[in-house]
Amino acid sequence: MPKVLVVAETKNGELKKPTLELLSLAKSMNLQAESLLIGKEVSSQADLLAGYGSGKVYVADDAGLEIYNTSKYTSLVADAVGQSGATQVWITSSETGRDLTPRVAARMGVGALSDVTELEIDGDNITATRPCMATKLVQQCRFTKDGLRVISIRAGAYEAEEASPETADTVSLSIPEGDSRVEVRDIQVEESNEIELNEASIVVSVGRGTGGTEGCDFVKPLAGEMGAAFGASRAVCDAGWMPHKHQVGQTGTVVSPDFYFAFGISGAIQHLAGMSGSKVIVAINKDAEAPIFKVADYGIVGDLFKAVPVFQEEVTKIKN
Amino acid sequence: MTERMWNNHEMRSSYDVVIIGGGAHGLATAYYLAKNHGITNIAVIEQKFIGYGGSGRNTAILRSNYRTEEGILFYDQSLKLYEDLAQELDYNLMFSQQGHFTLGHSTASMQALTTRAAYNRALGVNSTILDPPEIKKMLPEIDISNHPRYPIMGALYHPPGGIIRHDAVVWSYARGADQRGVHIHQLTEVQDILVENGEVRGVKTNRGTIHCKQVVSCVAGWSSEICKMVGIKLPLVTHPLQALVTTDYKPWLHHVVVSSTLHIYLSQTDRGELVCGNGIDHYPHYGMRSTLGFLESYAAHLLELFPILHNVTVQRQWAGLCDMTPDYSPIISMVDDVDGFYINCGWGTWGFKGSPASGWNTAQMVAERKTPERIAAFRHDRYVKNRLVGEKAAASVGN
Amino acid sequence: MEIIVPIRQVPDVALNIRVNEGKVVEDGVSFVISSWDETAIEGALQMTEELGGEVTLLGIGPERVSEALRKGLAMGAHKAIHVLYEEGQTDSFGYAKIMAKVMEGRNYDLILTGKQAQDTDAGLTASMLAEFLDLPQVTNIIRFSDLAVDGMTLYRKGDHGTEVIGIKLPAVVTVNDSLNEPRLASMRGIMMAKKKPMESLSPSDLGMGAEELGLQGSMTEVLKFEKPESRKEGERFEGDETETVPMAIQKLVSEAKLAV
Repeated sequence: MPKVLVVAETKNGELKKPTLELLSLAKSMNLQAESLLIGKEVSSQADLLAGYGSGKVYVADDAGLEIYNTSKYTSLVADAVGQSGATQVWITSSETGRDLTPRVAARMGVGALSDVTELEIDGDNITATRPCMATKLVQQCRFTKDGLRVISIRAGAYEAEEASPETADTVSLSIPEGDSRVEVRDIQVEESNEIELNEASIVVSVGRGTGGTEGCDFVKPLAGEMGAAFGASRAVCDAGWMPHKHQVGQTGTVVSPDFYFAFGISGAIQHLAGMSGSKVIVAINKDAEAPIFKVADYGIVGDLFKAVPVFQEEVTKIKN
Repeated sequence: MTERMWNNHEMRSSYDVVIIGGGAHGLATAYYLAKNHGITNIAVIEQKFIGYGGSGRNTAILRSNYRTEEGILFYDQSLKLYEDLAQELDYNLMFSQQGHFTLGHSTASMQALTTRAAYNRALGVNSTILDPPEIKKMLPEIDISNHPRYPIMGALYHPPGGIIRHDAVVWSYARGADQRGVHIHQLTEVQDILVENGEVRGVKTNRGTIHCKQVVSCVAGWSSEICKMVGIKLPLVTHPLQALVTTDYKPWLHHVVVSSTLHIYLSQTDRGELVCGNGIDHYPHYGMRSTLGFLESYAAHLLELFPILHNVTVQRQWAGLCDMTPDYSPIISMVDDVDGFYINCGWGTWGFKGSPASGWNTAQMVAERKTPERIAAFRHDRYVKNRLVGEKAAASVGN
Repeated sequence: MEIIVPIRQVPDVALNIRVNEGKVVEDGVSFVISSWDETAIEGALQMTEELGGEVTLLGIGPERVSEALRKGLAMGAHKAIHVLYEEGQTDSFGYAKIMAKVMEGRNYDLILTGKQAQDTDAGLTASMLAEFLDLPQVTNIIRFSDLAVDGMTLYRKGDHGTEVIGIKLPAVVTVNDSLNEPRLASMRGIMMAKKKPMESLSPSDLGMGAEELGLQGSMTEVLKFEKPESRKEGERFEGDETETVPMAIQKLVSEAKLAV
């Protein structure tokens, strides 16, 4: 009987959306799922996990787990797998997930499939589709030997379903010592109340067409008004018009929001690799032949400096 | 509003002339057909984007110091057209007529260079022979000592030679043609040429069929593929030719330097990068890929000529395709068996400098439906008639 | 400080990658060092320039991999190891096992490599190697400091900020391309690369049997490669922005269910 262990991710004590997506996916596939909750002061999230379909929730709540720590987290996953008898481990393909997934797999003596965008599951037989070659190609893979299935799944690849209130059945895990050769000292966070790119359901993004920092700043307020995250093309970040944390792309942040608004972005392949997973792409560009129009669901050929104020007007209308 | 240098048009179902190949030769042919002969109902069909082939990959060296009478006169016409081209096309082509050195490292080589200089001068082309101290005066960084394996013995110095911005030539010919009503269709692949009763009827592409009576093939490295479609075999073999560009340095090299014996050439762009080339790869191949072997061989020879360049860093390598002919001269010709089909190919490693004259004369051939005198020697049947125009000594590096 | 940099030779992903019958077409393809591995080579060179020591490259694959190794030597690496490997499809687990065998009995302080390879984009091999060697790992670093022969401070790009981690060597570290701008090979570097030591090994030299190689030694397999479904162009609006934008938004709300 297949059994999935979902490794939950939290931020500031709250569950992140991709975790809910994984649980919803397991539920939609009628797979028995349990979850592993690691962090500092995260225990309250157990009920929410149950609400999304988790059976037992294995909890490791400790100050020393606030910042990601490879050795401790790997030990905890191994512990939870042992206790739950899970046959599959699902992890989000986040920076944490990318580090954790292979270490867990190797610890358990098995292989892994990472950054999966599509899964076909038949018991513990898994066929996974994942992007490769800078997203120019996709490959279909499967596990070839018996054993634990360790997979990391891209955020936004699946939808989170609505939750029903539940009380969780929790199991406390003993907190591991961790590797003495590694000292996770601190995390440097840029304080901002901006919505994070990889969490947003709407992204408003700017490209070279803005012509400079002023142009980017002209568009930025629209993001706030739409409740969107603010993104930028690599060209804009490399030119120093916007900080790199806004960069959308394979070397920046790969996003897959519901709506991606591209202002003055031509649609170079590196950029597309970072946002082609968006559900709806809206392009605003004055060049009718810009490549982005070939992939945009809605393409507005026009001057972004004229379009933005009209956008703002319309958005205000919708909100009222 | 964004201004385009050339426009995209709906493909018509028929044109008077179809030119296959959107490189400098094809676009120059279109331009001169329109400008010199008033023929404007033309389609230039390009499988990728204009300048994708040799036109965008060459090391942009222009000269006319060839060896045969036919060659010298042809490339001289071309160079003179280049001299006025920026004015003609109203575009900065960055033609720097800075002078061109062909170094000789053996007595045989010096003999060949001396003969070339004499032939050049006899036909009004400026070339002269310099000895090592004279070379050193103009190229202070060069090593004229006996230290290298093949010391320099002299050079053919050709003042009218120089470098140009190859992309600019392609784009401005495209604009000039487009302004005169020529349609340029990119990302359009020719799949077949329709011939009936020995006459050209049309061209089948991946975007539809075009009816036309005249088809000109200007596809250089891909010529064998196109000629297969009309059942013509040409004595062409395609080889890769590699090149590299270094990071930029302050201007120090003020002339083009070529060494046949060492198989290398280099020049410095006004952005400060050294553009460097070699002889063709030994084996026939359609892959436009770069190899380590080329890099290693180039580095070794370069450092023999200019030892101070040892810390120069390599930014980028690339390659193009060269359709080599047995005599290192082009084939610009009508074809007896297929009426309305014209070939312009066999440009090997000597194509870019010939683009204007190639376009000019090909346009004349297509417009008048007969071979102009100036290119009579470049007919494709010269191989059968044993009238080769032997330019190997002057066309490429390797002796 | 002895640093080993495993590198991967990949098709140049900046160019067109074609697929034929589920397999990637290698004919006429330019091969390059995976760009994150170039970042690792540069990082390793900077570390040995500061502390002394040597950078050894490790490449696993067919004959053509030696070209990638020579290019890395041309950048300034000191030695290279080429495991001549032609056993066919191998996954990260399989490669990590081979690397672990190569490391057996070798003296090193640090294994530094790219966070993922540009062809698979899998990002698994280095961490699996760390586990097999029982070494600590830090992945996705954007900076390092406090370099010493027995340890250093690493700055990792995490999900919520930059994680500051002190690590004791030996260890496995993977790099993010923001770490540095890899240096270009110089003409002299290219010449000297020909003379630098390149050790050639076969899997049997490493004592590996057929059951540990190729598909037999792997835990996963690639069934096929495909071009992803390309998005199609949708609706276009041209004209005065005061008209086109409201039209587009109206459609976004009614058709695409945009909610702000």
